[in-house]
Amino acid sequence: MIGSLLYLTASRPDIVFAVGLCARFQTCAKEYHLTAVKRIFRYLVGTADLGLWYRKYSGFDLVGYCNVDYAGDKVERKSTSGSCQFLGQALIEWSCRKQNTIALSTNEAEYVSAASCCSQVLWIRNQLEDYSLRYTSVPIFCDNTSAINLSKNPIQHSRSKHIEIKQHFIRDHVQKKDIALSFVDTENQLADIFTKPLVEDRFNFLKEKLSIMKNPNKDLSLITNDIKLIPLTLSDSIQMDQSQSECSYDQNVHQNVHQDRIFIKFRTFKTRILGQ
Amino acid sequence: MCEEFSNLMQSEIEMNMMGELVFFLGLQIKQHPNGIFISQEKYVKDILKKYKMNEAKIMVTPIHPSSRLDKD
Repeated sequence: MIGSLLYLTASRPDIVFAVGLCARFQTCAKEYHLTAVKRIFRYLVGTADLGLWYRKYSGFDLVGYCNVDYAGDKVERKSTSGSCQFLGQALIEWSCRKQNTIALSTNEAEYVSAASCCSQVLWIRNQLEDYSLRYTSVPIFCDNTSAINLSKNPIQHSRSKHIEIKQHFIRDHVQKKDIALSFVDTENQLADIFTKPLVEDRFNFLKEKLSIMKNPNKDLSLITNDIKLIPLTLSDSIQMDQSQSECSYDQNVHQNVHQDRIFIKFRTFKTRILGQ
Repeated sequence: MCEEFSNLMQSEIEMNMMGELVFFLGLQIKQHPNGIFISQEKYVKDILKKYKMNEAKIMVTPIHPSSRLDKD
């Protein structure tokens, strides 16, 4: 069950955290864990048609978000780091990982997460160089100010001595202006969805921000569904024109959609008769 | 440009032009005039059927907000 869900995470960042959490208990699975997995399936029943929507002309600004759930793992008390990277408005990479080390403070956990996000950003940056897109100071958004300060301030803190390598790694790249750690408030921290269980409102808000949605073309067909019982007449096409004026497509597309719709309508009409 | 490329490839190696990409490794790809939509709708329905969950009650989030999974 977990395996098939893990494959699904390829297009469904909304279930990454839940699946990842369940996957941790595979070696000692209990009935309790099966209930959790079944809940994911029940969520999928209602949201089977969700997917990732990549808008055209959404720009090429590379940004990263990183977040952490401090000591989120109740067994070993390790933190969970979540990160996602955007190219313009398009979500291109996301991850949810239990950290390898046990963090002593939120600051440290946040820093470890920022370091892994940073290495991802650097990789994406290198890849994009092939398309002659060059970036300096790629912003990585983090909701912990002390982690940001730690990346600027060269003072050795007694609390962060043991994460020295990661500290130097980020600081080095900040100084080279490869990346820049910037602050974002928790409200707009988009990587939240990858680190902790959320309530419905917040979950849906983040889903929308990550452009996880239903097929936008289907929304158009929804309009036709309403009037599919009416036989095809002239007045009918006028009605459709009115519904189209609400959509924000250019005229050419309009006409194509229009033809498609008549076709769809005709087909449903035909199957209706044939079926009966 | 696409056709030129496809002709070049076909002349070099034995391969066919299959048209626009719609289905690849279980990913359904829909190309719209204003963007691309990627989903796994069919795969979701398949696994729901496989585990006999397609009639289950609908949940709004995949995990309970206050749930803390533990070892036992």
